[in-house]
Amino acid sequence: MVKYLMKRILMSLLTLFVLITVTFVMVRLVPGGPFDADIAEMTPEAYANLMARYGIDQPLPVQYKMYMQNLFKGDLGESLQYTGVEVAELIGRGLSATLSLTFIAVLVALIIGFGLGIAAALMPNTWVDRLCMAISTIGISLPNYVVAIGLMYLLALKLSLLPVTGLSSPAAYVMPVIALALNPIANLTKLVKTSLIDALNQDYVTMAKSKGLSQVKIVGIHAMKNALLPIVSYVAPMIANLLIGSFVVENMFTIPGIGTMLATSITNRDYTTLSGMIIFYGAGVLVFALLADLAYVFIDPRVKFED
Amino acid sequence: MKQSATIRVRNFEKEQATIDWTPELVEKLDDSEKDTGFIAIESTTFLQDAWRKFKKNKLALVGAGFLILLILVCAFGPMLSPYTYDQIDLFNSNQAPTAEHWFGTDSLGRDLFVRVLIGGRISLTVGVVSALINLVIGTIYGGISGYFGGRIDQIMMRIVDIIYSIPTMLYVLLITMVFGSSIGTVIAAIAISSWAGMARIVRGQVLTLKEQEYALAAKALGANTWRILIKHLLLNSIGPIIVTVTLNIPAAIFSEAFLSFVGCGIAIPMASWGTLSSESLRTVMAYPYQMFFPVAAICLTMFSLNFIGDGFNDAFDPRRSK
Repeated sequence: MVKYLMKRILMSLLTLFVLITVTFVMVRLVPGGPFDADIAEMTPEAYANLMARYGIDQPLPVQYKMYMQNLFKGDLGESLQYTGVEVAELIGRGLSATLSLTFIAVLVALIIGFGLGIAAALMPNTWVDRLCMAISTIGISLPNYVVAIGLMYLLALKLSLLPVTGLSSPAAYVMPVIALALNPIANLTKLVKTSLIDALNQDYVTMAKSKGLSQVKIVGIHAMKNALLPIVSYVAPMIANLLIGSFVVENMFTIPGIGTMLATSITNRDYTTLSGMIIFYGAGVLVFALLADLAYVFIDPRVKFED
Repeated sequence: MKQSATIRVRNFEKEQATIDWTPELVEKLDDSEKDTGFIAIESTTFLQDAWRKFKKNKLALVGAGFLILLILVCAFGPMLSPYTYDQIDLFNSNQAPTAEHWFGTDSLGRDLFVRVLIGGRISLTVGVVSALINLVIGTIYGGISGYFGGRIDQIMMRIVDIIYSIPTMLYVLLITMVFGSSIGTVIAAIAISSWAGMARIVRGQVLTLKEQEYALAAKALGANTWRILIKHLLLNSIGPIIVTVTLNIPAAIFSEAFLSFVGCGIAIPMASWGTLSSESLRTVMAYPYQMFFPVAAICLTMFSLNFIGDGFNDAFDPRRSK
């Protein structure tokens, strides 16, 4: 098991390294320098100074080495747009909004997804089942921005029930959270339903039933425990998708999170911020994937014997 | 019928010596007896069988019908309209839907009906072409990895693991930033960054199929590697492959729309459904119909493709045969 974990962690580090390198190279390949917009107002000396200040005048391998060394110290560099502001600080500013939004969305998705899935599995071929599957189909087919637009138009603009932008009040969370969570809810519902039905058809469930255990105990303890395996392996990509989804949703609801900053840094051609944000996003996703794998090892006894 | 009739005649023929043979003795079979000797059901090929099951899925059929209609309208609709997608008419800007402008006009007076159809061409092209490129890369990569196995497989799959675990959107974003956001680069970016899932599926299929007896038999009969790989292994994985392709199309349309929302989408005056809906976001309060039509188009297409995907999934899965 230790060997498996070590391998898994090494793999994640390698992936992170590839992500950083690809990001570095790609961002340097973007046509047009970061200061091209202001080049007319600058003397050549000022321009050269500016380039030197951010180290952009160095050859690529040197820049790469510097960037990696700084990254190792946790230094993502300085924003090209906001002079003197560290990228890490910018990320810090947006982090609380993005994290709280994603965290609530994950919780909501898990609770509702499990609820609907269990309901559908326990009452197959009834109206409950059909309703849950209808919700699931709608959720899978609608992209999050469509959900966001629909909610915004209905709840905020037509009915004026909820604030359109920002995250200043608890009510402001409602629409972005629904927009983010609907797709994972849909996937979870389907997944929970199929794996729970699978588990309920196993012999040990019949055994538990014949021993006279209550329905709650059978479903909650015996069936659920085994149904959880495929679900846990979905949760990591789900969180990753939510993080990326928050990117669009933040932009639409003008929430001051990392996603909005990333979009701003694209329009501003703020390369250091952009690469910092991308690396941060990627690293976040990798960490969640790793955590999910660890959880899997603890839930599934079979994994321990592999490798 | 003929067969049974001749048999009966022959029986009489044996006894011809004793019986005075006349045509009246030959009895004609009536219709109910015609097929009594026939036991085997009509044999169907794998694809015929899948099609039979697909036809039973009403939602998938409706989805397929809608999609075909949509493709035809998007392909030929703009030619029949008196307007073009980039024709600016400032005197008629922001009009509500009328008889002249079925979907109304946008802030520059461009006809939204034509723009939604042109947007459909682009969105559908992005979806289909990138799914096809995805299919080619994923199938070849996964096929080779699964068939050769061993060290090659390990290295190839580690590479896929790495690509797979970084969110696709990040690559797409980077690629479109570097190479600009023409329709070609958007397609290339989406295709390049999303084939890892397909490669995994194909590899898994090939890995199990190559252990089957018929693969061994083909080898023993002297079929060469490529013939076994393509004809026996990949063609037998066609079910999961088609399902993945169908579900990759909406995913690619999603990605393209995502790009539009962060400002890296198809450049103006061209428009995809994603750019149309993100453009109208600012003015949704005053002109909701500008947003309604592109969003409705995306939703209906997503529904159709997902229904078709589900239909294929049921049709190609032998465990669900009815």
